[in-house]
Amino acid sequence: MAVIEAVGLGKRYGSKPAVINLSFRVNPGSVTGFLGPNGAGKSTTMRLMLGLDNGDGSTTFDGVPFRSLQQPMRHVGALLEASAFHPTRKARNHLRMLAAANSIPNARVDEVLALVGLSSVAGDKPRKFSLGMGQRLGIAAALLGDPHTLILDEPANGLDPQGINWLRNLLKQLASEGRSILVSSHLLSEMAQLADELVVIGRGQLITSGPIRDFITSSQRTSVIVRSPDMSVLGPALAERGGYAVESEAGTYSVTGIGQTDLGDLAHEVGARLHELRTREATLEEAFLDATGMSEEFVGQTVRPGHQPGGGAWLPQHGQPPPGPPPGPPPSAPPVGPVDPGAPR
Amino acid sequence: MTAAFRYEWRRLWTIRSTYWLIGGTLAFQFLLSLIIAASIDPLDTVLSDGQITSSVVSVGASIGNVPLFSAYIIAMLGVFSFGHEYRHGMIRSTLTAVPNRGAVLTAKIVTTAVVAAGLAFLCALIGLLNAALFLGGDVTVNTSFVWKVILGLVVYTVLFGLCGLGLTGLLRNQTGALALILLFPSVIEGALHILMVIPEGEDGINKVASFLPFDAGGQMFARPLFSDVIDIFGYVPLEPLEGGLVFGAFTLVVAALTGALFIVRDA
Repeated sequence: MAVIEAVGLGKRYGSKPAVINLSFRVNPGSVTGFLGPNGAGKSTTMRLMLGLDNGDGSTTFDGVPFRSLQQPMRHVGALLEASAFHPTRKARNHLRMLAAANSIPNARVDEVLALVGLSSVAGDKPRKFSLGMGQRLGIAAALLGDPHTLILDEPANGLDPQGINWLRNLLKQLASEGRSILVSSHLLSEMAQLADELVVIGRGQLITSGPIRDFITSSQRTSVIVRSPDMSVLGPALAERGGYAVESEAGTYSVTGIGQTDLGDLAHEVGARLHELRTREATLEEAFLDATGMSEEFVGQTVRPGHQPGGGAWLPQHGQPPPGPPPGPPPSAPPVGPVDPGAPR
Repeated sequence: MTAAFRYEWRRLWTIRSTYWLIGGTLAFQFLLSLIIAASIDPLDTVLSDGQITSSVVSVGASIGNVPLFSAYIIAMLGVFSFGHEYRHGMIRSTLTAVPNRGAVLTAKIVTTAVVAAGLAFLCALIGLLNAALFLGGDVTVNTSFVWKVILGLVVYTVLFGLCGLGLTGLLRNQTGALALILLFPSVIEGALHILMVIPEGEDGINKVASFLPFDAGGQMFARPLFSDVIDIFGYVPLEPLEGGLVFGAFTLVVAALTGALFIVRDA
């Protein structure tokens, strides 16, 4: 059982800050997802945690910095990059070399090779390996010392769907044994199924951390779907309570700023009939995009089908966009709420 | 520290390049020393017994103006020691297995030095064997002169290998370091030598030329016959001990610089 405690991590490349005063905690018995847009500083953070990069702050594993750990692979297993092996050193020898430094018996090498499904190619040179096989070898290296803590940077890269499923089950199993696991990934749907907790960063700074459920439910894209023939009554009333409604399809509104229970009570108060009332929870991807929307390091342009280069503006067609991203599909009518509560349907 | 040694030792003996470099060095030494030993006529030369044997052992390098080829090959072991870490992205794996960077560097230095010394000595023995087989009837092979030359070329090879290791650690680029360690002693130092030595009357510059590190190191095993001819341009080679100290100091500076940067740089 080990707690990872990162405090005040910081790193600059010249004048450009890569990680800024980043603090978080990873608890035993959980998988903590480490999310952030490209260039957010996830890999740099992981390297800082392991003492591979020099920077500010400190990270401890049960109170001990990585560089002070005796036989560190028995405490912390790390996967930082795919294909970190000599192409002509056989897979088994690669692991035996790492094991030798940590007094890990050779029998354990064969155990982890079997665990990751590489027993049949243990005597092969990794230059023949696919990206997924290389990734499995890296995971085997991380597991070699049977560590209580795992730090994995994009471990699912290159894995096929079966491999991803295997990895998910493996990490959940390891977490259930009380280990602390920090995993970065761009596969948000995968992370939604895997992680118990999240640390989200953008431009090197902490955006949020905590249980994944809290992160999703606090998203602006979590909304209440309401269908009512009396929207002309209900619309102004919910606007007064700070709600914001957007018609998502004919007669159906997506409401943010007010919860399902409160909206039901409000409808009762103003005498509006409800034909549908339910909560639509944001996906992790939506919540992530919400949280990191202004933190992207590299932003691509949207290309509209049939768009002619230099051929006009990119403004929305139906007035100003609502504050925050629209829930669900694009609105087919102007929003109902503080902007225009009584808009005709 | 023992963890770093275990790691480095396993690292060295689990890659193919170690074997072909060692095999290549021994094969090269065997063939070249055999050819030289077979082609020398001891009765038709002004060389002393010690010089004849040394020239076989060093494959001509002890006579001067011929590089110690085996040292160049062995230096590649030093280059690969660090080069593979950076070329194949292994350095982070290495430092997560052994986080003590000082221990990692020390293990690399000691391992490279031990292997280089052992291999250079083995090469010398192969040369001695060929000298004894082909020249033993006419030449006294086993002399203190020869053993001093062997000592010199073993030390030179070790320092050469460590320079390869150090330069690779500095550059963090295997190809660049390989080119540098092969070209610096042969081409770059050679060119500097000519530039410094040719202008006559510039005694100060001539003296500096003898302090070029690889040239100075070469004096540990060089026993040229025509040293007075070289003196024509005012160039006076250092004594073996002086040369060894100069080359050793250069290697020490490279190693210290590598160590300092290895510790402060990001992996």
